This record gives sequence, C-alpha cells and structure tokens, in this order.
Amino acid sequence: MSKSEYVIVGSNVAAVGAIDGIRKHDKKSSILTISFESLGSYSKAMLAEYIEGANAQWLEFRGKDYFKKMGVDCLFGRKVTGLDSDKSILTTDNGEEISYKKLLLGVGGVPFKPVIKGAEGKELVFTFTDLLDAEKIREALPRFNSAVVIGAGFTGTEIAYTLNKLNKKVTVVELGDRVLVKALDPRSSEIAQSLMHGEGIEFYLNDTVEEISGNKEITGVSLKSGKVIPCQAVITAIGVIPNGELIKNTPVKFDRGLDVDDYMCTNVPNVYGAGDVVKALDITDGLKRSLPLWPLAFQQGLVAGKNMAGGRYPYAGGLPINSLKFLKVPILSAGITTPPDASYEVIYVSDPKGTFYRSLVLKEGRLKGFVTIGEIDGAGVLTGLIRNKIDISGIKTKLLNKKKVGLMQMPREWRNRIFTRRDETDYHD
Amino acid sequence: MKKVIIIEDYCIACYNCEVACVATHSRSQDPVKSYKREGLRGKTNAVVEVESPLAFSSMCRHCKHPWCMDACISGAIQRLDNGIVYLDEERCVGCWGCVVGCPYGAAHPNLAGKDKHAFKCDLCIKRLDAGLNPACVEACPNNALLYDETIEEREEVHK
Ligand SMILES: Cc1cc2nc3c(=O)[nH]c(=O)nc-3n(C[C@H](O)[C@H](O)[C@H](O)COP(=O)(O)OP(=O)(O)OC[C@H]3O[C@@H](n4cnc5c(N)ncnc54)[C@H](O)[C@@H]3O)c2cc1C
Ligand code: SF4
Ligand code: SF4
Repeated sequence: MSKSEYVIVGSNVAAVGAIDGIRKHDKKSSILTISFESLGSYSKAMLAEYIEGANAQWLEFRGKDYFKKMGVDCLFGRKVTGLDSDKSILTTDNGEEISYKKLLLGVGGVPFKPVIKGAEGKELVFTFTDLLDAEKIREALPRFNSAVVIGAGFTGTEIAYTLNKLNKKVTVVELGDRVLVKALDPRSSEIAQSLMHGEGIEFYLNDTVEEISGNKEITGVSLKSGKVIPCQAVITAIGVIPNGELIKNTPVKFDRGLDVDDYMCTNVPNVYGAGDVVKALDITDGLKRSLPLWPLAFQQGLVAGKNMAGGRYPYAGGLPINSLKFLKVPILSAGITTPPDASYEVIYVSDPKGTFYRSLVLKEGRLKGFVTIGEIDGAGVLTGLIRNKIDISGIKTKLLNKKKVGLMQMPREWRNRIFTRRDETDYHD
Repeated sequence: MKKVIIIEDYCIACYNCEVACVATHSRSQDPVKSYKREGLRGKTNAVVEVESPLAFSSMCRHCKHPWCMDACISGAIQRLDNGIVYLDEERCVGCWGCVVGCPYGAAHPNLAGKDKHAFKCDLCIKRLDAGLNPACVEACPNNALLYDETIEEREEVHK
C-alpha cells in the first residue's frame, strides 16, 4: 500500500487551488493527485479551442511542470473506485490501495444526461464536459454537417457556436423559455440569442428532444412539439451535476452535491471537498448550491488546501461570474441577474441598436448582480461592489453610463485604501 | 513589495502616465509612433479618470490574492516570485474572466485590435530589471504616482 500525507482525487482546477493552498503552509509533506484522465490538469473552459484544432498541451493552464515544481506526485490514467473513510484508504481500478492523512475530493461534475429514445447505439451522440468528449467530437467532425445541441446554457451555446464556426448547420433545443437562463436576465438572454441567431444558429425554446431517429447513423430528432429536425449528430450539453459516484455507500454526506462546512471540510474529518462536486456558499444570497464555475473551483480548492495544511481560513462564499467568451459582442455578468422576488430592484439601459446593454440588480441599496453587454472595460469594479457590499444608492444611475465603469464612482475612503494602503486581497472572501 | 502608490489629490490630469505607459510597452518606444503607427491608442495599463476637480490614474494593484488570476482559464495570468501579477498576452484567449473578476477594473479587454486578448500593468518589469522606476511614475510631473512600499508597510518599518 502506498501512502501520502495529502491525497487529492481529481487533478483539475480545484486540485490546483488546493496544491497552491497546501504549499503555502506545508512545503514538505507528500501530496498525491489522482486523475482518470491522461492529461493531468487542463482547462475545460478551453475545450472549444481544442475542437477547433488547438494542441492539447495548450490547455495545460499551469504548464507541463506544475506538479513537479510543487513537489506533487501524480497518478494519471487511474480511476479511484473505492473510499474507506474509516480506515482512510482509497482503492484504484487496478486494485492498488492508497492511504492518506487528509483527503480532498475534487472530482468535479458529471454531465446530466436525459433519457432519450433512440440515443443508444448511435455513433454521433456526444456530451461535452471533458477532454475525451472533445476528442471524440473533434475526430468526428469530418463525418457530420449538421448537429442538434440539447441545452442552451453555457456549454450548449459554446459548442453550438463552435460547430457553427466550423461550418456545421446547428440547431439548439432548450426546454426553458430562454437561453443562458443562469447567467442572464430575460432582456440580455434575448440579445444573446439574436447575436447567435445572426451567426446562423437556430433555436427551439420551450421544447425538448424526445427521440433520435436513424440506425447507427442519425437521420434526425423529433421534438416534443412534434417538429422533426434532420441532423447527423446530437450533443447533449445540459450541464453538470456534482459527481457523487465515489462517496456512495460511505458516511460522507452528499445531497445533490457534497456538503461542506465553512472550512471546505465534509462531515467526515480529514475529508475535504472543492470545485464542481460541492454545494458552495453563494455570497449574493447566502444559500448553498452547486456553482460549477472555474474561479470558484480554484478559490474553494485554495481554501480547502490551506485548511488541510493546518490553517483556519473560512470560505466566505463565492460570487458567480460569467463571461460569454465566444461571442463577438462581449457579454459579462455576475451574481443575481434575474431577481427571484419583489424585494430586489432592477435598473437598466439599453441602446436601440442592441450594442450596449447594462442591468443592475440591487437589494437594500446594495448591488447583487449585473449584466453588461458591449461595454465591458472596468466591469470588475461592479463585481467588487457586490463583494464588498457597498451601498450604491447614491451612484447607481452613474453606473449605467456607457462610459467605462471606474473607481471614480467609489467612496473616496474605500478608493484611497486601495491606492495607498496595505493589500487587502489576501484570500478572505 | 513596492507598488505604484496613487495620490489622488496630486493628479492634474495631464495624461503623461498614459502616454508613457503606451510608449514603454510599444515596439518603437516612441510616444508618437506608438500611437500613430502601432495603433496602440487606448492600450494603456494606467488609466486616468477625471471628474473635475478630481482626477487620478489607476492601474493594477498586484494583489497578493489576484482575483484576475483565479478567473484566468488559460493560465495567462501568473503571480511571479517577485509578487508581480503578470499577464502573458500570447497565452491569453480573450475570455474576459479577468475583466469581470478584477475588483479594480485593472484588467482591460483589447476589443479594438484584431487580437482578442486582455492586457494589464506589468509594473514595467523590464524597466525594474534595469533599475528604473515604472514609466508612469517616471512621467508623472506632480508626484501623484510613487513607486514605493504601501503607506501601511512604510509606517510599520518606521515604528
Ligand atoms: C466545455 C466547458 C466550458 C466551460 N467554460 C467555463 C468558463 O468559461 N468559465 C467558467 O468559469 N467555467 C467554465 N466551465 C466550468 C469549469 O471548467 C469547471 O467549473 C471546472 O473545471 C471545475 O473544476 P474541478 O476541478 O472542480 O472539476 P473538473 O474540472 O471536472 O475535474 C475533475 C477531476 O476529477 C477527476 N476525477 C473524477 N472522478 C475521478 C475518479 N473516480 N478517480 C480519479 N479521478 C477522478 C477528473 O479526471 C478530473 O481531473 C466550463 C466547463 C466545460 C465543460
Ligand atoms: S488585475 Fe486586478 S485583481 Fe489582478 S492583480 Fe491587478 S488589481 Fe489585483
Ligand atoms: S482574458 Fe486572457 S488573461 Fe484574462 S482571464 Fe481570460 S485568458 Fe486569462
């Protein structure tokens, strides 16, 4: 049996955050990271670039030598299949046992797959959540000219956009009544949809794929509404759900996501969680939910790592931030963009040409979320206002100006602290 | 670490810092050529904001915990050993994560240019290596920008 002080299941961004965090406090102890994928740590957010032809190495966001530089042992291409949290032992798919003192589960999410009649046995049916998926899609590119994408969320719109760019005829089918519902408000959803439609992508909203027809080769899909769309490939991209496979039949608490406390520790001492697998605290409303986003996975990993190494850093919650990175007109958003009830106030501007849009969601004078389209320079200042819970009642209309959002609008005292005083950003938020 | 300290009461909105920043990050190193021939207008890491009578120039704070880096999906943003938060424009894929992540609005999108990438202050890393101050600091005629320890760090030293 091999042994390691710290074992991290998963080698992606949550793991990288944790390694950074552990090494801030503990330069010496052994760390082992395990991933069933062959490429250690890579950017899932860049999978579209891979499909377009980028080199897989280009996706290694910390470079080839990261693990070595940090003094971390790697076990890549091995799946962890068992966890005995009483004995602190993991088993891998080749029967090897590994014991740990501290364990981090950074196992991410698994694609949510609806049951669709006729999906089995077809060659060109894909998901889009990891490198293997992207490899399959990339390899299959010469074999299809048209595709139906199920889901108009982040990954759905991203793969739709990418395939469209590669000259495929793309149709997106979405059960909800608008696109990108998690990141955008109804008005900006419409703008995003019309931008994508302008590039040639078709949308069917309030509808869903009931059946995929054809034998081995797909001939088309039929929708709930009765509509039939001819196509040669289908990509389900409805999103990911926390990956609970490994902790089935263990005492580790999991309820549609790993339950973690303020220190990213599960109910089992010495077992931590971070990234897409956990239900994380959302600072905008103080609720815990699955927030599968890159920056949050990193931050949670960092906090978990520091605590695993004996620190005591509470995770003060994450702020969801989104960028529709593939669009020609940039769209950024953060926090709550569609108010859940009447206690929120929404103000917005929109120029008739549709090239500029900004909406702010406030509660009790404080910014809770925003969307900005077209003008994005300085948008992070709005993010800072949400994080710092600054009262913006007096300046809110100024923040709707088409001009770059700047620090000029901030309270002078706050601004001068940033300009002249100690760095206050060391992770606490 | 030393950073650019911003004294807003001293800024006279002369924009010298912006010009110096553009020039020093250009191929020609020349203010006129960099604007006219290299098309670098607007590609300044130090940005002057004016709402008369108030004005100041602001740029990256080189945070100990860089929010921009957390959000960087390509690894283009790294915190170097000397504390400088460096954005490698070659690696950047223009996802604008840093733009929406930086609470000070100090990571900027290059929207005008052909290249879709973000850019931000590198504290004039090349000038520092040569023993010079950052270009904006050098160019400021009224000491509104200083290259120094932060005020709190300085007070601690003198205590
Ligand atoms: C196509 C796509 C685009 C995206 N774009 C963005 C974006 O633009 N912005 C953004 O904020 N977020 C984006 N995301 C989300 C972001 O990539 C995730 O939030 C992030 O990758 C989560 O990191 P993680 O480390 O928690 O999990 P993952 O990245 O999912 O990594 C999980 C790790 O666990 C390993 N693993 C799992 N189970 C086992 C096991 N049993 N044994 C061994 N190893 C195991 C995997 O091999 C992997 O190393 C995107 C996601 C996708 C799929
Ligand atoms: S760009 Fe912003 S977040 Fe990044 S180091 Fe500079 S000030 Fe900090
Ligand atoms: S725009 Fe570039 S530097 Fe900024 S987060 Fe995205 S990849 Fe990183």
